[in-house]
Amino acid sequence: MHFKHILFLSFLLLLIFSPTILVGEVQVRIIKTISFGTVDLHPGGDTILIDARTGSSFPGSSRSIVSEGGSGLIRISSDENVHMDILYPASTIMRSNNHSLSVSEIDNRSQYAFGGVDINSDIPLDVNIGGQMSLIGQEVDGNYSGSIPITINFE
Amino acid sequence: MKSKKSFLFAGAVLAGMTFCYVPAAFAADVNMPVTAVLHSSIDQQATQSLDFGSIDLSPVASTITLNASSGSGTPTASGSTIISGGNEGIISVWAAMNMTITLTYPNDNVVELTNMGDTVYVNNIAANSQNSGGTVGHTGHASTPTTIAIGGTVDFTGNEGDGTYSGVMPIVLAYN
Repeated sequence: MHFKHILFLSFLLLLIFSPTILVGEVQVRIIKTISFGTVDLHPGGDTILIDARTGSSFPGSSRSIVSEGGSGLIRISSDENVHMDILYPASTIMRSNNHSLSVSEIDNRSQYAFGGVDINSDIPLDVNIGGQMSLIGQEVDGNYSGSIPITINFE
Repeated sequence: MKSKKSFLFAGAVLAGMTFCYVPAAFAADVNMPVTAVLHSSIDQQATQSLDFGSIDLSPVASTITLNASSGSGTPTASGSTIISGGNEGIISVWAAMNMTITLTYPNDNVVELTNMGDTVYVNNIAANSQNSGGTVGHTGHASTPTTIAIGGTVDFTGNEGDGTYSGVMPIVLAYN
């Protein structure tokens, strides 16, 4: 095989395996973080719920006293029409020193968790994030924090 | 000729690829911060000690009773024993939310009052305390507590030595 053949075939292989060029621009921004507020927890236990399936929401409870707080908000925009699927974790952990709280039902309390959604070009889409804390009443006072890892697949 | 065929073939493949371009899928990862503050308003304290008073004990066996089932009480004695002073014990519970409080008192011959080598027992605690060891309703309020009065009985043989007898009464409060 001549050198020019090798050179040409190498160029061909480079074209086959090079990353595909992305068409269009997508922007994902966190507008508001999710907060369960300040919870005066009933000593017999309670569930603190943020149901954001239909839009922004505030935390609620059946017998504890909850103040402030609210659902999280992500804003997504694209200069192309694109379909996206949002993958939420089922739960995540918040921590305060050596203590932890679980946030569960994230996928069942957030928008567009199932089936995906289409974004029209240049029209931003708001996605509201929720979840719940199921507490037994013996949790230790403190400021708890964590993060919810969300993956958005665009097509 | 052979090299010309190779170039033509490669060129055909390259051309085919150009017209078979497919837009790629891609993903974005977002870490959404999440927070919560737990700040409990509930507090429970023994705000007044149970005191059977100052006892001039008869040498004959006697029983000191402090009945606080109606919310307050002072000690009384059987026989010729003389008592002065004394008062019911009080537990206070604060909480901003409504709840039901269930109290569990110690059984007989558990709560000891000791002085030097002498020991007497506080008994019949539930029967002489408010709500008789049942449940108490608490109306949520930031500063007004629910109070529960505590009583009981103490049996003396008449041979106990003088002195200050003291001990601790463990009471369990459950909330619902």
